[in-house]
Amino acid sequence: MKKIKGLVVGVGGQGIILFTRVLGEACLKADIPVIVSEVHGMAQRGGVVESSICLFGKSPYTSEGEADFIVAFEPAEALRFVKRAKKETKFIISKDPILPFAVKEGSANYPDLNPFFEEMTSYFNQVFLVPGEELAKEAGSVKALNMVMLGAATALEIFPLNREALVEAMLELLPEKLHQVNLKAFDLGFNYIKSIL
Amino acid sequence: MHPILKGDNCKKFLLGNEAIVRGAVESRVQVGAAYPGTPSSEIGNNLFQMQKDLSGLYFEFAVNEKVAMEIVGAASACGLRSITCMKHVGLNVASDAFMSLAYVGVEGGLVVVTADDPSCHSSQNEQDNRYYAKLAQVPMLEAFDPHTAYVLTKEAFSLSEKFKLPVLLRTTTRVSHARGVVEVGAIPFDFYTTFKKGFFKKDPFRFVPVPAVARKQHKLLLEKLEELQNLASSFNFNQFIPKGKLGICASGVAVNYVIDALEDLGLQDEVSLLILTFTHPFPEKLALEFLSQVETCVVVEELEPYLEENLRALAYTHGLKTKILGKKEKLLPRYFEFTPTQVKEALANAFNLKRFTVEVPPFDFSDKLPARPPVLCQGCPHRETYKLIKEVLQEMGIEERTIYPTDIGCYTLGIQPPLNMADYLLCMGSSVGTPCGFDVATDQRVVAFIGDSTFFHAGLSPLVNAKFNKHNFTLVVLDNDTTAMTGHQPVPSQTIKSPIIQDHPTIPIQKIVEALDIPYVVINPYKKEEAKELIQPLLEKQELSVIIAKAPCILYKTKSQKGS
Repeated sequence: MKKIKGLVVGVGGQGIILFTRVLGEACLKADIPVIVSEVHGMAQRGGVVESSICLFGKSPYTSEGEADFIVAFEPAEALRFVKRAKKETKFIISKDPILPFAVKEGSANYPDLNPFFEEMTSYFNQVFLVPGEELAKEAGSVKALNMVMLGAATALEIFPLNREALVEAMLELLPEKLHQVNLKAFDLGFNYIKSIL
Repeated sequence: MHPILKGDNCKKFLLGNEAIVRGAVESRVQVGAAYPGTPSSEIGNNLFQMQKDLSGLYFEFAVNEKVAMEIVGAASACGLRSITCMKHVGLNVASDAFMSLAYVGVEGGLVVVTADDPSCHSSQNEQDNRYYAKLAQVPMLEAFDPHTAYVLTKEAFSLSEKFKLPVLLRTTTRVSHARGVVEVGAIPFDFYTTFKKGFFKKDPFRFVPVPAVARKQHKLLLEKLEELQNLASSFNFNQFIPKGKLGICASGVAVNYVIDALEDLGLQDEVSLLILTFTHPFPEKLALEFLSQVETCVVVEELEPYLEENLRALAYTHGLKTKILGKKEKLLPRYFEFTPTQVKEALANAFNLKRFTVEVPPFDFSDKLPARPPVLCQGCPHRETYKLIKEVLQEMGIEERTIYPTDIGCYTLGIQPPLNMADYLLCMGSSVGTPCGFDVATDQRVVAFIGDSTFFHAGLSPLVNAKFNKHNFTLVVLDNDTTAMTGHQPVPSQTIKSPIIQDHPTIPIQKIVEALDIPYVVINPYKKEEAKELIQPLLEKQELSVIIAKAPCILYKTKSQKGS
């Protein structure tokens, strides 16, 4: 099989590790070679978090011009990593900004991202914006954004895995009391993408 | 049951560090000791937690890496398999013990994990610890993904026991923090039902390296190395894959980038590969076979040209004309992690593939986007301490001239505006040693910051030095009840304890300061005005003093209240 490389990006604390773990466990069950990278330590403290995913290959790093997909939990972070993309990259982006501490304090600006997105969408053909926060809240918790994004990515068929395979892996990893919220979040993300395709 | 222990003879999706733990437990490791440090921390964290499930396993968080090394050295001398793990700079701290351990040797297998950090993801430098194997003259294995981390851990235990030497197992961040598929064996639960004590057979003319013993032991060590050198060439996980006249030698995470790049470039059937995991002593016989069969050899390894130097020396010794390309030619840099694209480009370059280019989007927004430097958490007590001390010094009119030596922990983030309260840092404990020098060299006020865990790690002896040699500065100990940055490991002064060590005593920092007869105050950083009044007299006096800012890390407090 041809390698599939991707990137999941966002801000420390958004639950990116769970996203890649669910995907990885689902691959393991389906006997698909998988390797991902995780961010631990100081960088987690509100910093930029990137996690590389590689299916059918060996490298735990998705570098310049390599990504088949980029899942961004935050719009500015999607823009930060565009150099990793290629013309045919699929982008799935949660559209709600998370302001850096310096912006909240007033010592830095969070720019209007629209002009950047215009430039970006005129080059890439597959940029999908998701109302991530709204869907996560609808599911019952803003913390379920990661499963909204996983559902959305699954609907775009960027992994060679179907909804059932990912849902099964998700439920196995999560404690039972979180099943309902996360399942709903996954399906809201999944159905949102299906509705706009 | 601990998730790493679940499942026998199956495939698991494990972090590199978890794979090491699994390999160690399958190898019947009995004693572990470590000081936490990213990217090695999850090894210690998991062994610590696993004691609940395995009565036959003992693990402790030691106050520093040197103490940890001494603990496992002694345990291994009693015949028990032991493990310690540390970040690369941790081995600097443990090096004194490590160097002598090579001379006196071990009985039970002893594995020393060093997790290096190319690109300084969470470190003050990116030193290449492979040279420690050469310096200490011990065998070294290098993992390149979670599965090899698992396999090599098991190999390391038997190698160590066979040669009665500690084995250095080297990973990097991109191996320790990669999660991949690992084919595991079985956990020997029967072995772990009780802790089986060993026995220390006295042999002072081996275990006490006075000069006469050390001289004898060094010769013995060099003899072992010769034997190990032969073994390295036939080691199962050192692979020579002969193909064409172009060749690549690689180790570490770069192995993956090479394999993927060859596939992308369509060269997988043309290029000969020398993939090395047993890299000290250098597998000369195998490397010679490889060098004799290729015309060009590209060396792909992160950081220092360790393999490259060995290959060049070998080629010279044997009069080979093989063209060796690496760091010397600046084909790849000696700094930072590699990226797959970078390796692909370097290989295309070295093999003169002119048509190859990587297409990247023609725009870059990164300098127009807000930066997200890691910051102190909302409500973090460190921020409050920094703010109130700054205010007192401002009121005294000396804030701008005050020098703030800092140390290693979350509080190093005091470097960020608006605090700007981190001026000088070398290593763990340097916030207490360097003020002794500043005190001699300048009249500026010195207010130094150190965390509780770092204080116990390397701050005690310099504080004694400061008192004895009459140095004047103020040391602020940020006592937040835990080792926060690396994931809330225990600290001797903590009052909120993990259930695993519930019966361990608390060693209050103020009692140590009292014993040294140094003036001190204990403040609650959230009570700003009260705290300012307490510290003002100390800061006004030009003498050695200590401020203990006591308030638990908010994340740790929340976590322990939830009972996790």
